[in-house]
Amino acid sequence: MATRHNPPMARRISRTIFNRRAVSNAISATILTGAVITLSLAVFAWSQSRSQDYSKDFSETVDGETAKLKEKLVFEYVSYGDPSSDILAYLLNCGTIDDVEIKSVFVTNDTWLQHFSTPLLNFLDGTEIPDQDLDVNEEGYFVLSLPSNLTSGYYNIRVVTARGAAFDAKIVV
Amino acid sequence: MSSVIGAVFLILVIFMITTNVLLWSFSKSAQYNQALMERNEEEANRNAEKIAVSDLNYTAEDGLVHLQGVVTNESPVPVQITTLWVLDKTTQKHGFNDLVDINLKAGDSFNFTGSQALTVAVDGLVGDNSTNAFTSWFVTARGNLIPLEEERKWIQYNYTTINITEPSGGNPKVIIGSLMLDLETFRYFPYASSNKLSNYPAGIRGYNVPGATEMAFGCLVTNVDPANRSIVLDSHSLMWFTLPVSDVPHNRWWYTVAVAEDGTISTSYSDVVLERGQTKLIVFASSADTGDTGFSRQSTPKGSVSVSVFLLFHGTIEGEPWGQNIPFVSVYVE
Repeated sequence: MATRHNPPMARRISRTIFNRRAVSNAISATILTGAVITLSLAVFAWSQSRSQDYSKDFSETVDGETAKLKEKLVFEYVSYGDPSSDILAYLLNCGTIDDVEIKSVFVTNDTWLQHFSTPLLNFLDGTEIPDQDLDVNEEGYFVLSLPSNLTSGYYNIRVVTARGAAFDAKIVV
Repeated sequence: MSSVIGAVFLILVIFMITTNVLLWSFSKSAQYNQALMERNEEEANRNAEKIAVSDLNYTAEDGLVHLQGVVTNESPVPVQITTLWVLDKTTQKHGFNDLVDINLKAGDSFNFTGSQALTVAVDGLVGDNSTNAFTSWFVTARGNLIPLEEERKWIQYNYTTINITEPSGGNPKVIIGSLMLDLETFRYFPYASSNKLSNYPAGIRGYNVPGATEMAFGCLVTNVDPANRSIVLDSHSLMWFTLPVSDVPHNRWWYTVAVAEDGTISTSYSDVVLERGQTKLIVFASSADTGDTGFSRQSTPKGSVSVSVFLLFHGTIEGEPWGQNIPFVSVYVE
């Protein structure tokens, strides 16, 4: 009798392995839920990381543009020819942001261009500005030594700051 | 169950990321807009700045230019003046005073005269430079450059041979071409004798002239030629009265004459040389060209009429032939 109701061990194992029905609805649901949660967390983390990168880039751009917007340089006076073939440009930082650095200066007319990189900034009394930038309400000047005398005409002087703002002045020679 | 959780998570992720990015974007946008607004406000204030300088007077000696005058804030915003620049147009040298600190509320004035006079050191000035032409400007903290009144008075009153250092007084002037005329120092001279002017060189200031009377006229003429050329006026220069009548003979003209210090009109004419920046009293008295036929007195037209006065100058500019016609004052012939 006992052997009739209790099949042998080998047969039971075989039945377990080759049984096509699910082990259990609860187990399968748990496994699936776990997989979904894990995947969702991964997606969330990745999205968060991507959005943070985007935020950082955008933040830098906006901050840069905002800082550039606050820059304002005014040419108090521009002279040419004293001494010969030198341009003296006197500037005032009348913006609302400190540390305005001059990265480039371009002297141009319709057919000609001369580029100067980071000219030396001096205070109006002639001493060199230690940090080479203009803080708010600070005045300074730089000298551009041209390779040759300018011919008569109308010239544009463009100052480009490290933040990318550009300021222009005109001189007549 | 898993699909529900997945959907919830998806919604959560989308909601959190979107909200985060949106809120952050709004905050950055607000920050930029704030900066833009501030910038616009600064620009508006900068554009609103308006200051006027009057009674300006320059004195220059030994490298120092002293400026005296009155500066008034005519704008609704307070103004801080930080720097004064002076350019010597004669030598093309410049100087500045960055210790100026004038703060003006709306409508306020500041008198920088006497001990408050502003001084600027200009390179290359030696000795008395009273004849140099200067121009100057203030720099405000907002970055405006405010030109001061007009250039240094051109007037070096040089009445032919009499040097009088009389301030220009800011009289209205007319500048046409290379000449500037002072409209308020127009004068006329009755005759004390046949060839001597009465009350010379002051004459009688006014725009009501006796009619049908022998008379001479004078005006201050300044050489303001932009190219710094000297001007020579010859005897063909004249003052022309044009009458509002149809017949030409009513017109009158007076040729320029040479006058001695005591007011005596010379029978011959010697050219008048006007250097750049120099002012001279030019006298018109003769009905005929004194270089051709000598001096003869001229009468004003019959009275009760207004006439327009033109100045016809002739001569050379830096040796080259030159002529210029200037509409000048109008007078009423009594």
